[in-house]
Amino acid sequence: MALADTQTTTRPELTVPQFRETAALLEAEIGKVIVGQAEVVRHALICLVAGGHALLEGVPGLGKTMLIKTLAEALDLRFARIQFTPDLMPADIVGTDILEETPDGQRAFRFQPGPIFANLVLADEINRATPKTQSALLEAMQEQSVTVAKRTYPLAPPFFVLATQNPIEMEGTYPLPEAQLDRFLFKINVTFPSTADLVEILARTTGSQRPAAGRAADGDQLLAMGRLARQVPVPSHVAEYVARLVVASHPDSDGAPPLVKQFVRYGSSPRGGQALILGAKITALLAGRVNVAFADVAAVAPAALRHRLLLNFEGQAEGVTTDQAVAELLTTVPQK
Amino acid sequence: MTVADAHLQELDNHLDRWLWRLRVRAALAWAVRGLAAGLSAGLGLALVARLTPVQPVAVLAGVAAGLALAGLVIALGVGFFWPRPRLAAARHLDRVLGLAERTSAALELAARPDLAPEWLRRDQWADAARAAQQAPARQRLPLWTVPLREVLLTAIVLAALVGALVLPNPQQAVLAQRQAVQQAVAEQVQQLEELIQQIESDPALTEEQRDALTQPLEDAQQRLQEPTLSEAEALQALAEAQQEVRALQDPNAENEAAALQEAGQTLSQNPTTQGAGEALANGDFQQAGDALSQIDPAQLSEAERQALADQLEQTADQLQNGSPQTAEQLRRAAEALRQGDSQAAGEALDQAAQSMAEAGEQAAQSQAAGQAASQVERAQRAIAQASQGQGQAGQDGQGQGQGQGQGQGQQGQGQGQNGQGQGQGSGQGQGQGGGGGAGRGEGDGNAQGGQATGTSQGNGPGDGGERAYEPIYAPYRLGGTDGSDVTLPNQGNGDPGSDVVGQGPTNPQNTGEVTVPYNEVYNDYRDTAYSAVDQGEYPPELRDVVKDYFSSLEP
Repeated sequence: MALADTQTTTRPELTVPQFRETAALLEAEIGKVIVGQAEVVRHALICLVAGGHALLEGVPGLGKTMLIKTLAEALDLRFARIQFTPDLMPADIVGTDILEETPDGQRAFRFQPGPIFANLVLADEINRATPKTQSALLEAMQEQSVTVAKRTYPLAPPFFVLATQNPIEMEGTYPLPEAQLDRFLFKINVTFPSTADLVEILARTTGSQRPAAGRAADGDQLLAMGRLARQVPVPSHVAEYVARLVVASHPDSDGAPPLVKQFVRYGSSPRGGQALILGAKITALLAGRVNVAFADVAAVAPAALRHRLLLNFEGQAEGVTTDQAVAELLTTVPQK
Repeated sequence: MTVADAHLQELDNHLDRWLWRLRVRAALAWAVRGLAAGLSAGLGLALVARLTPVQPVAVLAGVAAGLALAGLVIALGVGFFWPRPRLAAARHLDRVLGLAERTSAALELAARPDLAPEWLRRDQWADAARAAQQAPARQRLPLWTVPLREVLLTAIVLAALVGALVLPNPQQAVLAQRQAVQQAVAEQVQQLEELIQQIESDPALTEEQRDALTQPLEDAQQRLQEPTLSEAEALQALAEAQQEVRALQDPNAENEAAALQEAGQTLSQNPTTQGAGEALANGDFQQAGDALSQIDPAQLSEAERQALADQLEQTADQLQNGSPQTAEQLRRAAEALRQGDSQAAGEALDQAAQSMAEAGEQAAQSQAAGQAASQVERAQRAIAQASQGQGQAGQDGQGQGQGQGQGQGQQGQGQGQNGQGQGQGSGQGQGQGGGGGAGRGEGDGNAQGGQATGTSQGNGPGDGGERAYEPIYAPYRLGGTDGSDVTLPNQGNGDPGSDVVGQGPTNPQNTGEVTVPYNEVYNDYRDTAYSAVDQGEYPPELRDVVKDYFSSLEP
């Protein structure tokens, strides 16, 4: 069983029912704005609780930006939106030093924070910016700090980057490098809504009143939820299963399924395992359970692994998706 | 007990109950497989028993039942008592009962409290206990989970086993025959033991004679007790013993003894030799010899000596053929008496007495040898009959008629005596036992007393017409009643009714007027036939036929 971070916690600052209640409230508030997309909302919530970043991928108009804005509203967090374009510069994200005249007539540089200095950053259409600009997010996402002109500025917790990208308009886009992709806890696919959901969406968005989400939690609650989630015990055989999943995602491993061996070029990094465990812990709590189960791992596996598997040319040519590879992993790796 | 402990205890109780169900379920599943394995082993044994004689059906059924029962019990025990670590079982049960790893997580938290804070462990145990209480154990852990195909397979194996045991098995007849032979051999070993004791306690035999008689019997007895002895080997051992014992038999000695016994009546008519004569007539040769040697001619009157001389001469004449040596000694005694030479007469009488004693000893040995040979012969017959009887019983009459006609056309082969006469037989006998056997042919010539040994058993019509065959011993077919037919080489032209050409120096111009005393040629014929048997010219099964044949002709 994985060792939980329990030593500093003698009394629960948040109980499991409270956790579930808060999460349910959040989902309910988001549900006022976002129709359907329950899995997307659930995975986005898991990312926030886990303190991770999410990459939302979907065709335009599916409410990706709306979802993130609604999350910010429901959580009462400082929200910033960065529209990535090819001419976006790193300084446009992290901020820059500007030359100012002091009251005493001196001139000095003053750091002007960029939009990254928020709790919830929406990196809209992140793949439209150049790799240089994209990499400006790297330090912020991993270290939760920004370095400008040799000075490091910490980002106030909680800090989340929720990025979106469009999978069909590839002209003039810059696919995210693997290193940056790996820093996203989940990659969430936003699918087209069902007919019933679309009817509801049309009804809500074409009326006189625009639905708005109420405040359901704040940043501290979110951090408390994250700390509780990290205490959830993981049975040793489930942890071993997660490790086997990650290892089997590599085509050169013995336990790799045939599809992985044939179509995958690189498998998941250890961050994939961390994402699986963290996501599974939160999923268990959301289910009212105090331990991680295999089902919890399976529930988050696609979102946690799909962006960490790199297909080879044959896989791309055959139209194989990483979701298929993950499904194959879940099918073939035994739950001993 | 705290609330957390109560939850953990409750979870443990649930786990115990589930584990029991798991054990029972595994035991039942493996019991069916063990039963199938045991039945399969029994079926294999039954099939082997249909190819080679192994054990009787009852024993096979018992062994098969034992194997099935052993497989059932062993598999039941293994399935129930197979080690099941609680944590591994909890993980299995989590999956089977849909408990989402609650039970295994609870056990791990109980084993390692440092993995989670106390309040979280308490919550987890409570959650696990609650879920365990609601777990559908009866539905998800049914006791009987044996697939139908396994049950059907077991039933098929059982049916095959019953069929293999119940359906007629020709090997059972072979087995019964073998057991009968073994039993007969065991009985004959006992009979030989009694015979040996009888010989050793016979006062008429000397120590050397006893040793000579018992040695072949003991050898045969020892060979019969060998564990891997076959029927043929048993018959071979007995045949060799019989031959050795028979070699000790001397018909001349018995004839001499008979002649002496008859002479005893003559001697008893004279008062002087009355004691010796009566003892001689009673077959007590030793006493007769003693009585004769005690006669002192010097003590006799002249008239008595003359009367004694006459009596001795008369006796000598009577013994001329039966015991020439004694006759000569008596004649010398009589002559000495007439010449008044008492000393020579006494010496001659002593020699006659010694000859009588020796004849008595020889006769006793010959008689004992004859009895022993007959006993050994009966032992052979008993073993052969045990084999034949079981073989016929096992065939349910299927062998009837198979031998009919096989011997037709086979010709008896007459043997003329002294080159005179032609033994002829019409060869119309019906063969039995695959054409092998012995027959008595009657020639149409004058080969009286000639004996025909033929390749067929029959009684060919001679000039005396056809008469019913009197079986001496009914031979059995080679290899039992279901054995293959054997056609012995035909020494004639094979046509039924053709003449049998006798062997030996014959004169075509002589119609066969010469006669030979039967008892003079009997031993030669018998010895020749026995020699042929010993040299393996006949199958072991037919040895008895030859021996019985000559036994029936024994003068």
